[in-house]
Amino acid sequence: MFHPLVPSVAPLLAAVTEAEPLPAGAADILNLVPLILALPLAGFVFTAFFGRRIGRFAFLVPLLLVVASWALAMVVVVAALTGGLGEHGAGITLWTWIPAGAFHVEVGLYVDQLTACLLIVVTTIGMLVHLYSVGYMAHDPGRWRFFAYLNLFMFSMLLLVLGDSWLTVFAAWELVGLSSYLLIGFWYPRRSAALAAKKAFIVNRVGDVGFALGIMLIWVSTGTLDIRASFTAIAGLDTTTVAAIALLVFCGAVGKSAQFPLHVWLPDAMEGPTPVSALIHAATMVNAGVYLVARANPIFSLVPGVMVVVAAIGIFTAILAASIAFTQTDIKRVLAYSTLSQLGYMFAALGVGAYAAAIFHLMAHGFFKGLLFLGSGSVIHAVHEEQDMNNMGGLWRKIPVTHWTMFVGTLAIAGIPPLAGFFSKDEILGESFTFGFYWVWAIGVVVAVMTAFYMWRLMGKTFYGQPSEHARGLWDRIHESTWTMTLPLVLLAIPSIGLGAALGLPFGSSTLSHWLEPVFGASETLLHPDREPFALFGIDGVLILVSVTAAAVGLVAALALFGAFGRSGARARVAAITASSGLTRFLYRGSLNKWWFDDLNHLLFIVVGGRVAAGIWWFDRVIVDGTVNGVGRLTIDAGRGLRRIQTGRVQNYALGIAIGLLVMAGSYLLIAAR
Amino acid sequence: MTGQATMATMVTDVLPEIVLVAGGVLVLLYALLAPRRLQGGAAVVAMLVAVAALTVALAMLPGTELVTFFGTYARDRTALWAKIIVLAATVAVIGLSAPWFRRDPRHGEYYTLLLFSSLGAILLAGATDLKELVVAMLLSSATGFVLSAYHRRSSQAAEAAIKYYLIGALANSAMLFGVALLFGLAGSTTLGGLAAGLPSDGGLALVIGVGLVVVGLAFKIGAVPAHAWVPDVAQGAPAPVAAFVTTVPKVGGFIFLARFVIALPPDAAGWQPLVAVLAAATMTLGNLACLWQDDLRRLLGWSAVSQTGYGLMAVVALGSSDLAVPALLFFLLAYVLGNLAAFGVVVELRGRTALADVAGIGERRPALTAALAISFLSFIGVPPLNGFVAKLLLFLVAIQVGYAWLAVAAAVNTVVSIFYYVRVLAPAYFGRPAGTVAVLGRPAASATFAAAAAVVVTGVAAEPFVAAFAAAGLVIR
Repeated sequence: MFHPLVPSVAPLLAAVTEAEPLPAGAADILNLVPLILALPLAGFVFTAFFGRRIGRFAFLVPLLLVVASWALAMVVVVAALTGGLGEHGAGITLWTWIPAGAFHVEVGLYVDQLTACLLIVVTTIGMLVHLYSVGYMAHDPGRWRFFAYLNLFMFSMLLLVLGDSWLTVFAAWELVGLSSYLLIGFWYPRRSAALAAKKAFIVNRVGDVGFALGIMLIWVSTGTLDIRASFTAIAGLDTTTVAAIALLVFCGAVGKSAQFPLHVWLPDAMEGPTPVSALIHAATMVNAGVYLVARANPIFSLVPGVMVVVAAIGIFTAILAASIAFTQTDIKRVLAYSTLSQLGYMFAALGVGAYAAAIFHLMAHGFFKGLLFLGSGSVIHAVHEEQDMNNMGGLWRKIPVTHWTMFVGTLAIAGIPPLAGFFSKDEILGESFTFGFYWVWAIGVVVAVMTAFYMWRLMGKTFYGQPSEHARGLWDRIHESTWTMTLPLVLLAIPSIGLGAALGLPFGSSTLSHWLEPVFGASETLLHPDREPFALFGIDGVLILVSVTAAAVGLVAALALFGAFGRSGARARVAAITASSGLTRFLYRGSLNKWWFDDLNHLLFIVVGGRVAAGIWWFDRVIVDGTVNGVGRLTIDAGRGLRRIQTGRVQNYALGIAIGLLVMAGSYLLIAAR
Repeated sequence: MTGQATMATMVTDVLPEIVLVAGGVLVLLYALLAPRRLQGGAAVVAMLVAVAALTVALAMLPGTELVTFFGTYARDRTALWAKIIVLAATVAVIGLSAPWFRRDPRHGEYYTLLLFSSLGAILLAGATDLKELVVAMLLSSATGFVLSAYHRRSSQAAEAAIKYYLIGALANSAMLFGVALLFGLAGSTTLGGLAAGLPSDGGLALVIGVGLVVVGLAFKIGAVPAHAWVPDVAQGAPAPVAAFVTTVPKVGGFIFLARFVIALPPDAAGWQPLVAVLAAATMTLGNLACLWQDDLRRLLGWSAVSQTGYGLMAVVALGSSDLAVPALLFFLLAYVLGNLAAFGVVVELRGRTALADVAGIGERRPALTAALAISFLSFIGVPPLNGFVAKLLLFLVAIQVGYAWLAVAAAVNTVVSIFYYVRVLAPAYFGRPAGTVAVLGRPAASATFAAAAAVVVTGVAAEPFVAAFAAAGLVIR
């Protein structure tokens, strides 16, 4: 039955708002927030209607609007992080959407420190990817469509991080899915692109059903859909309900962030244009799941059991994906599996309760993975749309800007100090250990070795050694990309180097953790009340040494195999190791075939599911459609047709009505007799 | 108060109906007298009549809610909103019909039938008496049969109309039998009289009586078990007529069903689970039949069936939730607008209906494809379109009155429905266009775009509508 819980929550909220009057000037800042959203939306509408007519310069309006949106976002971010919006952030209500008694939905936006962190990543990388796309898509006749979709994505993603009710977030959740679908399938005449778009769409639906059910459960059990109000109300529920809510919300996160077992869509999504891979499938949308769990930290922190599930799925995805990245030869697929693996790290961090570390890694990874993807796009452009790394090699002299920026990105993701990835990854590993999740830490260290290894393998196969036959064939025509493509690479290299030191120092009480204290503080105290102070010359120092060593081991191993700059012969060395024993052969085959997950899904959903669907189809064909087609063709002679109808189909209809009536009467009687 | 004075005040309660009757006769006279080349003028006259009736209905909204004509006809805001939805839909259908029938030499009479048919739906929405129900059903059904067969030489249309007629005759006569049984049990035919007079332990006679009336109404709204005509008519009838008969009669049928169930004795409370089961069966069957449908019109027909199933969730909640009436009205609004937009696209595409025909139209006709996408996304329930608000309210009332299983069934059905709607939209946007895409003309396009725009506007600005619907009462005595 219906429980009107709203009255019990409302006074609490009123108290919160009254206790915290907004600082002066906050209202002006808040009025900018809707504009951050409105600009890309306007760009989408404008380009969708007029883009085709504008033609070559259709990128101008979307690009300028996104730059403006970035500038506004930075103003809001600075205000939010310096306390200009109050300690717990502030919101703005746009309009009342559905007023229906106890069910009251308002469309509102809310900015707090967590939102601010996401705004930095989304608007900055979004802007750079728009710029990059000007060069990358220069020769595509349909690029006005591309920029329209990109702006739609920006709007949806910003709505997702700004929305203040579960319903708004869910709407944005579906919108990012839609724009991702449109962009993966952008080159739809290519069958693989259309299939990949469909796969992403369907796999994501599985997660979304869970998320939708979670939102329904939140509403049924708390009577509110406002995110912050629901946290207060959920704290008073029984553990089983809270656990169910947390698991269902996590379900949505698993779909969108491509965690095991819903990870299969992301590598295929690489069929989309490379800027899309960088923006949506590395730096922003796939982070939505991480953001969701971090946002819902007051719910998750109530149920440590569910958090263990989060950690386990995260760290398992991390090692699974890293092991697959070992043998892939498509440059974008290696990066895709690497993204899965790094997202796994973030979920592991969320699961052990190191929320700030997860957001830290989200930001750092957004920048260096965005850089690596855009770099790979530049490489693919240079070798004339070739993605197989076996057809590259020796490119470092030809495309120096791309090479050196990707070199920076590789060191960053491998976790070499003092680059960004070192700080964020080390914080995740260190906190896993300190919080007693030794298994997460141990697997995490192994993944760190693997990450450094497969990333250097990518560098080695692409840039070093002797050029392959394909590369030699067009050697003289290989050239560096235009400035619109290299400038974003250089600009992304800056945070890839410096972001970690800027946000991650001093150890133990970093700038970022101070920023996020109002969002995560209560949960972290609840989970780890007796936290030891950071000891650089104690256990924490040792842990840092371990992660640096792990990164170094991976790098050195890969260096030995794949060499650097001029050294060649990598393939023979790899083949020798693979053939050395049955175990290595098995591991190699498993990795190469992605541990057969696609085959398993094929069996489950295409073979078995196809049978079920074929059954329904048969029912529709034979029972529902069958006779009508026959009848339809043969009713030229009205009398003959009428006779046919009378003896055939309509009798069935009438029989249906009669049976329906009998069933109705029967059940009615049964219920009345009860 | 003298009898004459009472009649005079009563007449003011049915002004939109009077406008429709008089206007229908006027259109008929015009069609008789006008030469062939001016037959198209009948559309203009009919449009003016419908707009006039619509204006009158809107002006009546602030009045008091009461039952008039000696307990047989309700003048409440629910009925008025139903009239407004019906008349707005009629205006749109007239817009769709004008270019479609342009070359039919005798199509002036068509608009008379259209006006009388919407009168039937309006009477259904206001009826609080079983005899009134029978008359309204006959008016609405008989005109519907003729409209469906209006392409006299098309065997497909004839087949659809014959099936529609046979099912309709069976359902209507079953309903008449049910009316007789209920009259015998209660000693009255008004709903007020039924509520007072029906014995709660009426036994088999009550069960059969109620069941037979529900079958008649199920025919009207296209619900299980009398749904089978919907896909046939959607596919075979002239496209504007398909738009009409899958929307307008449904509004009247739903409102009368709502009045009927609240008149039933509360302790023979079997009707609630009964309607819930019908709802679940209707939405599921409609959805499953849609899955591999390669004909756009037939798909729309089956999707109309599944949408009826969702709407029945509001009927389940009647009497137990304050939100039930606004949920029902908002659902009808959303459904009617969405369906008009979708069928409008079919009309504008000159009735081409195979899935292969829509491939690539996104490139050739972006605005038209956008209308189709808006209507389909609204059927799925994608925010901020009105279908989302409707579904939300429906889920909400179902959960409120303890039918969470029904809400879950509807949610699962919704997810399934994404598949077949996307199966149309994906080729429309991603497919390769086969040559040029010929369209019908301005009036049809305007009606289609107006309906699609209304889907967006009533979705984004749902608040005034929900608030207005929440103020609507459902009176039976």
